[in-house]
Amino acid sequence: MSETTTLTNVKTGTWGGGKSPFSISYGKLMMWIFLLSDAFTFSSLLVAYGFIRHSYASNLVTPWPSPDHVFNHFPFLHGVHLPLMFVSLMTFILIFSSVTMVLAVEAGHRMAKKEVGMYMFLTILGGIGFLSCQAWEWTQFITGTHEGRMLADGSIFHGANLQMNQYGPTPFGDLFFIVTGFHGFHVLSGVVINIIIYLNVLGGTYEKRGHYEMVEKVGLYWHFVDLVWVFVFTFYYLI
Amino acid sequence: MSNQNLNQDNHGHSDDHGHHKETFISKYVFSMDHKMIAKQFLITGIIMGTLGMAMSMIFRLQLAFPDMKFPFFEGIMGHWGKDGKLDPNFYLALITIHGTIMVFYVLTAGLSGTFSNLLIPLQVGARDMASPFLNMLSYWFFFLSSCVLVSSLFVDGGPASAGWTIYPPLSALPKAIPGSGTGMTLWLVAIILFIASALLGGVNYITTVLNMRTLGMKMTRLPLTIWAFLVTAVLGLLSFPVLLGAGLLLIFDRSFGTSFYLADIPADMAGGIERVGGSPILFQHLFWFLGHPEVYIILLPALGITSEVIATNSRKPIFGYRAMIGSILAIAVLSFIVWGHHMFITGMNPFLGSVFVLGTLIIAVPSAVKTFNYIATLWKGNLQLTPAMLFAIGLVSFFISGGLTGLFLGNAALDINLHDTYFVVAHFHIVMGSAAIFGMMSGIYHWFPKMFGRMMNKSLGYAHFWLTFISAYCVFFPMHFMGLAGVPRRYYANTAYDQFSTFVDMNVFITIAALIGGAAQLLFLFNFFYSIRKGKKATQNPWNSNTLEWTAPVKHLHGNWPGDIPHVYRWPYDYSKPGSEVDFIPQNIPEEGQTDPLQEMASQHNH
Amino acid sequence: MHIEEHLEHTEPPKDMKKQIWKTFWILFALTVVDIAVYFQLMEYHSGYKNALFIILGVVKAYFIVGIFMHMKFEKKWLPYLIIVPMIFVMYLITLMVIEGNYTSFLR
Repeated sequence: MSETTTLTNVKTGTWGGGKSPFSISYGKLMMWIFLLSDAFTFSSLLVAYGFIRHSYASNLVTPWPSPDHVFNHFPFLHGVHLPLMFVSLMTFILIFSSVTMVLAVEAGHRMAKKEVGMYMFLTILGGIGFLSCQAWEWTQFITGTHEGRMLADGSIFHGANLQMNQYGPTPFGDLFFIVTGFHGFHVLSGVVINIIIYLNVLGGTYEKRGHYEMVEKVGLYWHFVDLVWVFVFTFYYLI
Repeated sequence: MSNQNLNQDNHGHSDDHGHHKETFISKYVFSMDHKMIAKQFLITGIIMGTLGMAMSMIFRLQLAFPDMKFPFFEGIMGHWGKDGKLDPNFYLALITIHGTIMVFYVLTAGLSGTFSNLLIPLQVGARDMASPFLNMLSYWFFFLSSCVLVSSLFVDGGPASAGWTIYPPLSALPKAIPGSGTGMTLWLVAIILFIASALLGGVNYITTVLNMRTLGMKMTRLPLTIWAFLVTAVLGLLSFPVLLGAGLLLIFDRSFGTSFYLADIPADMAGGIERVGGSPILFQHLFWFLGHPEVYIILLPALGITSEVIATNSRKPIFGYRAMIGSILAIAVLSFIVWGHHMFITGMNPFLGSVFVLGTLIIAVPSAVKTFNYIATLWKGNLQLTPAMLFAIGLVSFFISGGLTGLFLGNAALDINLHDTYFVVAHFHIVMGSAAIFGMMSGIYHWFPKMFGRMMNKSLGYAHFWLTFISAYCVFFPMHFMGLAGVPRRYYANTAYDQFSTFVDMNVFITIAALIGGAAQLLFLFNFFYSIRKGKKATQNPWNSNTLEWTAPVKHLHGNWPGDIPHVYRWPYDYSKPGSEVDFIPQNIPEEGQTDPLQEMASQHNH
Repeated sequence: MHIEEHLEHTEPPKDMKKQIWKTFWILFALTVVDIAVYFQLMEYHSGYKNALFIILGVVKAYFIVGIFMHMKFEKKWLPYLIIVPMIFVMYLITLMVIEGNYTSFLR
């Protein structure tokens, strides 16, 4: 084994082979690459959103609605015009759950099992909180407001479904459902994976393994979900 | 204990390979060994390819003899071939499924799936893929996807019939044409499974090449095959997700009444729901953002294989190794920014059209670099005309003649005339279809001894090559003239137009050539399956090649090398090195005075 | 040894906890800026406002990827590997926005 020590003392080139040029394990590299491709999936949905929204740029008959006339509700505050407040709350919840996640990763480096478990638990709570908020927001979006929209035949349409909505052109509702829905699906799967990892942490799987890299990997995924939300928030609610 | 053994230990591939019992299921079915997965990909690909080719024979017969009846049509296609007449709707289904099978199932999974799996761990010097489990999953997603696609042939209304590009509204409205119903749904399911397979594979290939190279295997010592597979995997990884997004929206349009791709469709035509506000052009953009890189996902592995086969069989170093890498990278980057040249006449923004023309024509530069390098490698080489070598040279021929017509089609103005004519069919069948198939064949003949431990029959190989080569040119070359005269593609018959009657004889000629070409593939199939069982036993390095896979024993081991993984001391193209006694020096032979790659690097650092 | 090697490089800086909370407050502040700009300029529609929102989004993304996802502490090649391909997304989005406007013009 003395040979090993002498050889590792030699500084090998980054790309010389025999080791990872990024000094990360294959699992983490895979997660990064997967996230890169997932970013392209989300981008394709946002591209569709950009294309269709801009194709309404000069449409005066059914203009693209301004978000502050659609997303202006807050739970328990019925009838109060509070644009953007609820979705900001959701953003904070998600950012906060990202913080607890990264704290769990940090605790994992110190092999502090109890802390990892606690922070993972908080992260899961944050995820569930976000999903609950989204459920409320979807409900609000689907039921719609009292005014609704007058249709050609004189009847009044309330809320939204995939075929029609009271707020604006059909693709507005469709894109809302698909973009936030696809993101919500990612959050949901993130929560499920987090729960599995949390149970493993409690069971001492990573304690035995000697490192908490698995927590880091799901952490990457969780932050990615947060990252996507930043752009969904920007493009769907702010602009 | 060397570095990489520990590296492998990390995911359960220690040196104790062979100790655990392998059952039939774990060895041949749910195998996690990259060599077995490669064989699975190859054989599935060959079966799908045979199916796709059989379809082309049927619609070629229809095109050549539109008035004739073929009683066996009824036998193989049931009511779609009633009284020996091919149903027009089924003609559309056949060309759609032929395209889908050939593009995705044969030339993506069958080509890059097979050879990436076989060669990446062997040529970079790894015990297996980074994650053998995901690798297995990748194959089984592909298998499932193949099953779904094949099953769509048997559903009511027939399989998808909107062309392999599935443009809406034909694909978005289930009632549009018979094939838009269940068949289209199954097509989308199949493709989504296929994307899952491609992504799992791609993640694995990239990670393996970057993270698991053996000691001394610098990026500039990688065989060009590996470079091609790496870049292919990157292309797939970045472009398939966009098709996934596009397909998701299409499924919503089909099944849930949304209007992403539908503009102004009255309710009675769209399942009772009026569709307004979407844009079919959006789908085309998203589709071709995948579709154009897909061309290179198909082509690059074939070009990589060709580089390797040509260098080995010319007994010369590949000409311009770094230029080759550079051109692969340039093609990859350009392939992402030129997708719109498939859409010049859709009514997209003409300004964007000119951007796409510019990018498209620039692709000619790296492509020309590659062909020039191939020819320069062949120049004055000690040519070993094995079947693999012939197929590789055939690829170069197709790449040139098909690439030249690409220059015509890449011009927006010329494309107005040529779009959707047989000129396009001729172009992509030569440059993408034939060239990639030839690359694949070249790879099969070259690495058959590595895969199955036996040699393929040479004489049958020569017969296969010449018949395929000549018939491929006979099929696709005349199509250029038909296209220039304006004969549209995807038409069931051209009998309705007088001006196309001059092409009746040409169509017959093409069909006869196609039938001969098809028959030649039977030779290959026989040769392939016969040689697996009865071929001549292969030696360890039958082609006197330099790359690492030939340093592994003929008999497959789980873990590839019986002892330590070989270290690498040189680039893979040291053929006929001046001053050397032998005409090839494998990569694991040290240069004079070298004992370990680590020492070499240490001395570089001291400089 | 392989594992040790990898931990050696992904070991966060000593004051990681502090950095995490700092990043949290930065993200919090940026989101508050988002909201403030949104309410202040509600009736003002222009490309500049949208550009501001996008820039704020990208800055947030930088902090999430850099600190939370550890990108800042990885070896330099990983950022290249992951960030450079995003150029293609930007290209696609730019072209599709142009194309969307053109569609609007045609209608």
